[in-house]
Amino acid sequence: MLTQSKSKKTEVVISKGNTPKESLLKGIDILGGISKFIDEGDHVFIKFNLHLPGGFPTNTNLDTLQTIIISCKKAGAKKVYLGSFPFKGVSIKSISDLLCLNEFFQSNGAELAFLDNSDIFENKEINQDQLKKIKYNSLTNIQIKNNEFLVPNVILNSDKVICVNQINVDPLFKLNLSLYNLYSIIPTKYQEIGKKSRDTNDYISRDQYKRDLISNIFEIFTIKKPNLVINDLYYILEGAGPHIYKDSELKKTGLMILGNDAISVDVVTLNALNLDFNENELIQQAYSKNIIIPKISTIRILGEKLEDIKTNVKLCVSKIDDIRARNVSINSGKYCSGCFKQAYHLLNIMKTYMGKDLKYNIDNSFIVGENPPEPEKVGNFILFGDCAINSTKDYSFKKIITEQKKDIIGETKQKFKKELKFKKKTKVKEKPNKNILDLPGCPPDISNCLELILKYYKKKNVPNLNLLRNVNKLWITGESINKLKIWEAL
Amino acid sequence: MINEGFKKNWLKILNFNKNREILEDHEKLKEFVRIPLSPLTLNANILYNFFELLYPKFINDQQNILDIIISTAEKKDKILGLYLYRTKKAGVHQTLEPLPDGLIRIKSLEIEKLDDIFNKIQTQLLKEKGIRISSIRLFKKEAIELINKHCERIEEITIYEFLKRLMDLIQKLFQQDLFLIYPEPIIFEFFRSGIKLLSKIQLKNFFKFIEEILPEFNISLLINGNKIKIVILLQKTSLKSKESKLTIKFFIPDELRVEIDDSNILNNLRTIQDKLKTKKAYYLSQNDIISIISDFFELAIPIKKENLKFLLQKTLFGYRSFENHWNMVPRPKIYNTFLRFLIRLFGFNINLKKLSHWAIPDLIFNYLDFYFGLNSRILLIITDLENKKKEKISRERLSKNICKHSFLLEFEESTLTKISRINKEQLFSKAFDSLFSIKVKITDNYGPISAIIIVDKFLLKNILNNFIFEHSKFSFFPRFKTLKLLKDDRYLTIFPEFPFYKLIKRKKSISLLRLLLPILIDKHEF
Repeated sequence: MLTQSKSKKTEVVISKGNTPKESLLKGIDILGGISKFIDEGDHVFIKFNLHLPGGFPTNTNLDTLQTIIISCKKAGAKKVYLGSFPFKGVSIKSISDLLCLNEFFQSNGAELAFLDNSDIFENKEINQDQLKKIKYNSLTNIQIKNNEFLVPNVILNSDKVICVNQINVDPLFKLNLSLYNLYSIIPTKYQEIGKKSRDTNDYISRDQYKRDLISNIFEIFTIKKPNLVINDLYYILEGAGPHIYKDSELKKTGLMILGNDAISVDVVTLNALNLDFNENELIQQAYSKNIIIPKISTIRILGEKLEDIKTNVKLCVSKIDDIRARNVSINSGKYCSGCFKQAYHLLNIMKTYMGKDLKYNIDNSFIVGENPPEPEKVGNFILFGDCAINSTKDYSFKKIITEQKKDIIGETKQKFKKELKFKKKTKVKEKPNKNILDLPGCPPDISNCLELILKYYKKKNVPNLNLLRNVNKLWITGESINKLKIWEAL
Repeated sequence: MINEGFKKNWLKILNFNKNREILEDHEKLKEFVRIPLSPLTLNANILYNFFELLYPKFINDQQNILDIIISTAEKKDKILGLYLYRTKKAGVHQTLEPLPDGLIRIKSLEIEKLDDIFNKIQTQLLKEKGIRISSIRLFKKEAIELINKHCERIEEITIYEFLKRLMDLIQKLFQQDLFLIYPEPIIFEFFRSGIKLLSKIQLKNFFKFIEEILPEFNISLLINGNKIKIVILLQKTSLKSKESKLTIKFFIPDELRVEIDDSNILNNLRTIQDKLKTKKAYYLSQNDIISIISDFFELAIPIKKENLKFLLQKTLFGYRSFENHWNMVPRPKIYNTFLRFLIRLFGFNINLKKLSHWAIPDLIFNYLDFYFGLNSRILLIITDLENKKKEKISRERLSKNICKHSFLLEFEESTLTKISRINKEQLFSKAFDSLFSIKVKITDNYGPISAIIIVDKFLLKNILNNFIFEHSKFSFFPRFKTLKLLKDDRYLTIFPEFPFYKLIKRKKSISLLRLLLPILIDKHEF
């Protein structure tokens, strides 16, 4: 159980500077200097945001990472590793190659930890057995309650862990707090919420997906608690996030919030951004797990005054229906957070990269969730997720009803002959509607969805998506990614 | 005090403007003057029109102006000269009336605000002269010295030399705040923040670079204005000494003995093309040009992505409006319906009139945002391989010799906030260095950089020639050649290689064109 000493007040620093470097160094100084956290000869692991091979703020600010690496080295750290598991289907090597990350860290005296062993994928001679051996030599199976998690040894064996978390808006938890960031110390496959209890009726109404996810987040958090947590909100990605989408905007606050207790740092961060931490589901569930959540009054805030720095951020939409994409009407039923998150990302990708495609293909109904309302428009029907596919089996849009052509000449003849004694019934024919695209999955996988959309609309009708696919092919397919899939499956 | 040549020309202009008002058939007045501060001579009617049109649009649209020349060398700013222009039409300067220096007193520019000075002057002038002015132009003594230096032998210098001098003059005037106007026009804010953004980069050097990459051209423009039609001749010719000559000439159609008939513009263009012996003749609308220039100057610097996107959309829309907003002779074959039909049979839909002006900026900015990020530092290196074509550029090897210019572009919140010039010594420690070591050096001095872009002058020349100056040419080979150059590391290197660039490099030119054309050109013909 996560508890904290009641006798000593947790210290959290809010620092402000003209550059991220200045802000961070100032914050560390107020906390008592880096030597308070790092000892001579320490092996340090820095957990940062590593999602996709994109520019800032998709991943943590390199200015901030450079500053923290140099500080650790100055404090005498023997080894400094940096790492995180990226998004599903993306290997660390592919991100590192595209951003020259490892070279950058090495030039600063640190190393990128290839937690998914993707640095050795390139070696074609490695067979499945060898890969398995490598995988299990670098990861340790840790059991917490009924769950098993594979955690990289480089994290478990490190003397100190620092979490450097870029604050971006997030569709599930409003902000990606450090607690959520620390969840990606386990392989992506293990981060996914399994189907174990999905058959129960109240899975959606209880939002079991989110409950299970939060439960896992806290379990992972107990494995290796960070010694120093830095919430980097010098720049915040707002509007749409946590990746760069069309509606994304960057807001400069000049702030960093740091301390040695992740929960306290997150509570202060939520407070600084005028978000009620009691409403945050991560924090709410922590209460139910008997985790002590410090009240803001019990946290000793150093540096800037909380009242002076409070600012608002434009959060992500909280309902799928609020996402406005050209020529797409959304019909949503009851959905869980898993489908919401994936639908949010898919619709934002469509909005960002498929502007022209959506203009050409009019009247698309995006149907998501259980028992959605019957779509009003006739056109293309995109059924997102197993719930939508299964619960709309008997819906009228699934069939096309055609009436047999009237025999006008015959009817007229009969009129003349006054033979209108028996009125013929018009024949009605039912055909399955072919303009339906099923995007299966619980929740569906985004890259799979994009492939299915391309196949359904055909290349020539979605030129933007075709280009996106060609661009993506250069980093999310190929030998290295196939090996990643094998590695994950082992 | 002011350069004699400048003064003589300026008084000639004022005199012409005054006389022009009196005469009925002023278009027939054949007087030639120089554009102030330039060696360009033109019919005074054209200049009159420029002033009448541009001054109210970009500087001030009200009557009467007062010029003040001050010396800030002493504690109290000393007035060296006061000149009143009574303008019947806003912007058209006609009379110059020197006023006694003691008419107004300015404590110091540092102490007094320009609006206070303006109000003080306004009250004084109303009392003394019974005239209300709309703006004051304040020249510091150093500004006059710079203008005098700029005007030295100005009639004899080349256009290039003039443009370089002009850029230098503008940069110094704005950097040192030597010339002020109250109320301040938007264009001033644009120049001031633009020069601040460029920091130590010399505008004249930038212009010199433009001169180097511009291909040869020989074109004439017919600009259709509400009050006057102007013909402009633009030529760039190469000289034997490897240098080039730029020619700019202004005419009114009468001078070329062309009678402009609005219903038969193409015939007029052909005549102009014949008379001026140019390769191409373009027809442009004055209102469209003013609109795009005005949008450009209204851009707040640092330029936000959204504004840049809008300007790009507007430019592309202008380009696709062939035969609607602009025209040209000879009519480009690319617009020939039969030829387009033939090309379409091979699977290429090229219709420049359906250029997707709304989708192209979105495509460019969305990919740039994702791969470079909303905050980024990009090192731009311009190389010159002209005599060293065998020099190889790779991740591991970049020659110090071939690097001509290097700049660090800093973007914050998708806005270009700083451009700094980087010395070769900051990039190279020896004759050859790897891109990675250059990246490390820049990172040490300026913080982590997102990408290094190395582009050769030859490629820039090619792009300008094949995609801008020869935009309408019906020939695929030069364009394929340029696309091929884009794939060649010697002419373009992006480090690290982001996926979109990888795609350009790996795809064959034809399949790349097939992939991009449906996005670049709109689907529906009507």
